[in-house]
Amino acid sequence: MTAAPSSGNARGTAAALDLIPLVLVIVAEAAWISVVAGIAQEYALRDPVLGIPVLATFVTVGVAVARFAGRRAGERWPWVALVVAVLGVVAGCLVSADARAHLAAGDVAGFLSADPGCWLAGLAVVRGYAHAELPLAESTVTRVIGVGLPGIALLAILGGAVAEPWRARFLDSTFTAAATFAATSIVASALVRLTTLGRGAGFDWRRNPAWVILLVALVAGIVLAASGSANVAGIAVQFLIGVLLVPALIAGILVGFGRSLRTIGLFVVAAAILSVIVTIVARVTGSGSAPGAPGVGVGRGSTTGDQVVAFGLGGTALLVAVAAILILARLWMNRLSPPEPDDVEETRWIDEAVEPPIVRRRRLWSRRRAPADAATAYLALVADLESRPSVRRLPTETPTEHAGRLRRVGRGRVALDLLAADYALWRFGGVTLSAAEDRRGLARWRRLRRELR
Amino acid sequence: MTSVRFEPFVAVILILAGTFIGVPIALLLGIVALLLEIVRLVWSRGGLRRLEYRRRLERNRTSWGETIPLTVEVWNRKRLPLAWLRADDAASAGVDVVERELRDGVDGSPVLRNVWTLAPFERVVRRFHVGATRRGVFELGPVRLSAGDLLGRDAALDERAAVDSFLVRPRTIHMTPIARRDQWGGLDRAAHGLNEDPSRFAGVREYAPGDPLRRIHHRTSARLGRPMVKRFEPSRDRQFLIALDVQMHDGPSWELGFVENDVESLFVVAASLARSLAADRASVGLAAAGYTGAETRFAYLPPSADPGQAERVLDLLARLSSHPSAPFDTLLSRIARVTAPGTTVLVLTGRDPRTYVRHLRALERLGCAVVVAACGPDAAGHTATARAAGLAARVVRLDGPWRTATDIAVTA
Repeated sequence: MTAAPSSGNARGTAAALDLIPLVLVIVAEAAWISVVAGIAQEYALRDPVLGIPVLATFVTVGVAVARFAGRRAGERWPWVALVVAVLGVVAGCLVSADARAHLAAGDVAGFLSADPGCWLAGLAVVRGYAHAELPLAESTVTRVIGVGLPGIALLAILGGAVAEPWRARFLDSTFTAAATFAATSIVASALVRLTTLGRGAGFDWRRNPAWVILLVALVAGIVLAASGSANVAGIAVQFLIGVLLVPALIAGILVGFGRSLRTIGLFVVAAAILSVIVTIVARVTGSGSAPGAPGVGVGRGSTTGDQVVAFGLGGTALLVAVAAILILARLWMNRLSPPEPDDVEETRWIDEAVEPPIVRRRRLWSRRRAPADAATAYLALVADLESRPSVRRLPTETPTEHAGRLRRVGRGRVALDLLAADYALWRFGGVTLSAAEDRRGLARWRRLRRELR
Repeated sequence: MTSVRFEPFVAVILILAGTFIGVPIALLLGIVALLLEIVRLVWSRGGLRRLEYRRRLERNRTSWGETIPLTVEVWNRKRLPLAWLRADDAASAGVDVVERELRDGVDGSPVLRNVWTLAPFERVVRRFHVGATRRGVFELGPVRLSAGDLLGRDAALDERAAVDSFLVRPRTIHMTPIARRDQWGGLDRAAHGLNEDPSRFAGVREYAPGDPLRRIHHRTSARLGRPMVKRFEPSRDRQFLIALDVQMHDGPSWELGFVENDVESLFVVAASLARSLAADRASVGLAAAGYTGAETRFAYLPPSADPGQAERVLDLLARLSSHPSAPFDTLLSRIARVTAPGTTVLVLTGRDPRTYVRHLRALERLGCAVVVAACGPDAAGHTATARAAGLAARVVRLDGPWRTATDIAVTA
């Protein structure tokens, strides 16, 4: 009788674990959309309005609508999706106090144009449609991270070209959004990738909690390390490039350009050209100018012709957006069904079998382990002398002959004879040396090591 | 061919852009991307190091419709955990795994795919059951191993060449025994008149001068007070060679047109016939003009009554190709050269025997009995043709498709 509740609990836990990637993806979507909304606001010379939590709510609404209403709507779904997205735009605008003030005054155009970043609430709803089905589609999540990382960086670079104080505010909010996006999207993509891999192959990441913990810890560590070092890493990179670039190029010329070096060189050159272009653009558009400078804002002293062009472009963009929503809403509905249960008999256990000691090659900088007794001290000394032709032991020599030869040529001392005798007693005589003899042997080894260099 | 990965370059470009334009966010994302690449590199170098993969088939042959237990074992003998490890065992076309559907591999051929998540030093054993959709020789392997890094991305790839093969014998079903004629002579030279089969006791009779003393039935002689000897039935033909005509249609043998179900039906009949004769303690052999994986174009197993002969015949049938390797006439000529007189050659065919009836007559002239066993939809017509040529003939008919048939009827 107790089985039913426990199996019910297990199912509940499994369902809750299935939702983890979805929650992470929602936050990641909200993070990158907040950057886009932020730059829209910045270019309108306004402060950001929609933060990650608000946008995450809109994405969740999109997920919920697509999941629960999508199937029921059937063929009408694309139009339903469009209406919900438009409602999302309106709701996003309602978040802004200025927009609400315009609405209260009956100014609908002002309501919609007060904070252009609020329009991105509609995008958040649309992005929610993409994640309606569980398990999540790997390609969609991977695309989020693949486009999001460079996309946010590009937006940050573009945002850096606007006048203060909007520039600083934008960069501050974007920094948090970028870190949030990186952390959530990486973990989400890993979980979704493993869920996809496991479909029909008897594999489930929930069986490996150690991996989940390690993954979260690693990603948190990476993001924290990157966040902490982002402000100082630039100086270090500049210094390194300044110091190393010229010697590396000279070395490359001397050695000959290999394929890898050529590729790296090409990318360095491409990056340099890009940075020069962006710097020029920033200067032309007045980046870093004093607070209150004109900047690149819109709506200041624009002519009627400009307004016509703006409306034309805006209308075209609106049409494209509508078409995109209709197409994407249909595409994202065609998801796969959940994986079938696997009935393969499987046995798992941790098997740390006793391994034979691995003989590692001695590296140049590694230290040899110090000997513990007279016999091993002699062997260590012979190994040390191996690289010195004048004093090394020849293959045909016994320990005594070797010691005698060195003494005859003036390189050795009686200490070597005594150490060799200790070794011979242990090795060939089967004699166990006393602790005192071992101590004396070790002292001779240290002295001879120094003297026979 | 290794694909170019752009992530490291994107990371470097972001770092450089962030550095020279003074945007810490680009730098942050560049460093994140770079660190992720370092993580990937660690798993790329060590992911498949000290990883043991074993595949073990419990036995290497089975009959159609039955399965062989298969154990797949993987052991991660290192401290590095694997987010996922995928093993794609290449499988011959026709391999059937009960617990798992085969997937399409990289080159489109079927693979048995297994994916695990492995902790450090974790060892996992999975048990499957493998069969095949038809008779034949099947292979599992080589295996293509790929491992993911901590973030689940493809990190390492390796191919291990170990291949396991197994043999699926044709299906055998119950069969009406073929009537074996009594014959004079038998296999050996007659030393005492009729060559009798001592396993077929027929009664006793009065002793006659010249009877061997070991034939005397002592108990009956004592009871009757006069010498009595044992009588036996004469030997009947005990040696059969099944000559399987793989070619299903008249015409040149190199024309590969055949209906797989018709050929398989013929193989099921041949296998059932061999098993039935072996169960009746007859010597049975097999000859066919088909490829078996050996260098020769002809499959030939001389008749024998040794234990295990039926299994040997079934193994040979399992290896045999579904299309002919040479004309059936050529096979009959070879049979005539190697078969001892007195052997009954059972010609199992699905086509009109008119084209090779001349060779069958030659076999009869050499002292072999020939029986044409005609299968297929036109079996009655083919039997009539054989009889018209003066040969013994039977109609052999399955009571359904070869996969579901339960009985084989042999009629005159």
